[in-house]
Amino acid sequence: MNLRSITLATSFAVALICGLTLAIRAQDVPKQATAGAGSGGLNSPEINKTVAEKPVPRLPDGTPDLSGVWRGGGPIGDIAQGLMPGQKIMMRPWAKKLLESRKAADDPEANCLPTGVPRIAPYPWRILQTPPYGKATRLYFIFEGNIHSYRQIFMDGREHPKDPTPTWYGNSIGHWDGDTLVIDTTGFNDRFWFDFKGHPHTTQLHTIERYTRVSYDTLQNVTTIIDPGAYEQPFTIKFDAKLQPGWDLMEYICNENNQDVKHIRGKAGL
Amino acid sequence: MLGAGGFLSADALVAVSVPCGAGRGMQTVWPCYNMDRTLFAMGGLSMKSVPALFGSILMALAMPVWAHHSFQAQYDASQKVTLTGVVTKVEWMNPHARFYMNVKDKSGKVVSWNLELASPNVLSRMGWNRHSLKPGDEVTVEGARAKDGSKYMANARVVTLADGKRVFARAK
Repeated sequence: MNLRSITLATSFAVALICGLTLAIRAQDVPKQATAGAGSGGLNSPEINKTVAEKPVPRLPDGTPDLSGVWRGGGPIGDIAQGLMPGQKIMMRPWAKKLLESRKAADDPEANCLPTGVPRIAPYPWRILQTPPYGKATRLYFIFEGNIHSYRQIFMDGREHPKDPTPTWYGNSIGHWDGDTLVIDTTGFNDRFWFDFKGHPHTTQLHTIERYTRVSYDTLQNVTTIIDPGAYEQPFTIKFDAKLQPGWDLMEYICNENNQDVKHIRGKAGL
Repeated sequence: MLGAGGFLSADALVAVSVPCGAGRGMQTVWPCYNMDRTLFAMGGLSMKSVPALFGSILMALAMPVWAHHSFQAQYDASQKVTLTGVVTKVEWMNPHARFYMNVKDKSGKVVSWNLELASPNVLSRMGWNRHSLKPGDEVTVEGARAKDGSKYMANARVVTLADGKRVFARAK
């Protein structure tokens, strides 16, 4: 074999390897549809199908990676829509009376206030962890709406404070149960509603959320609501969040021009 | 779900629509929007694809489309109104984009209407932007009147420019 044929053979081999590598990489990368700068892209059914077939991503230590932009994953209109089989919402009489008397204009969400837990706004939100690649000490849920706000979930093993000041998102501590992220939250205020219908709660509210990335594009949230102040017994709901590939969060300052509230009429409802 | 009154909300379309052309190779028809951001179209609509089209619409109907308040709390879908006039101001602001237009009433008097759209973010993700509608544009609006009796306020369901192009379209 002369020098020329060795060079040719080597070039051929290199070209073949490069070609194969490119072909494999092309398969790895989901097709993207973009809708222009700043729009965050749109998801076609074709892309969703490609994405759904991908394996659930994991961090170097094997923990499922939940980071990304999601949409949904909690009640919007009526919390009862997410009830797990066999579950019932049994309200205390005063809470039922309050639910029935609530006016749509008083919904905190219509007034550009936060959703609290487990309610979700019809806007995307992002899960972010720190540190990004190691064992998380904190997770952040960053919400585009209903107002720009965030939840922080302490993953460093701490306990709930003894006498927390009641807040919209409460005090959240999290841990992993296998591939499921469990978030335990107490210390809520009683100002937010669970949905448009106006399901109420008290400061005794305690939520246990269990998040499982059941597929690449689906984050299942099974939440148990424990509030002996407003409900006769705990109940469990399930809502799925869907990944929004290619989306970024956008600015959403709800109260910059909220003309709605003064025109809203009637009872709270869907 | 419908924003009541039988029209799809912007959110539903965000979930199901694609840029026209992006779906080439897809065997089914799908709602799409043109990259020049002027209007929605049904890409490659043919009789064969009608069942698929209904499938898309059903999917859209099945998705929640609420804004930060319930539609029914502010607008009455049964109180339809059609207006033609000139846009005087566009507010690309939250929680809802809105625009104002001068419309002649029955007596010939010009009155200013306040018309609500989806949120700027929802519209942006559909491909619209703050330049999509401008003061001076002549438009025809099909809307649902405010529930509280405000005489000159409505939710703009269909906005059509003088040349027939639709802006902020939610569905055909």
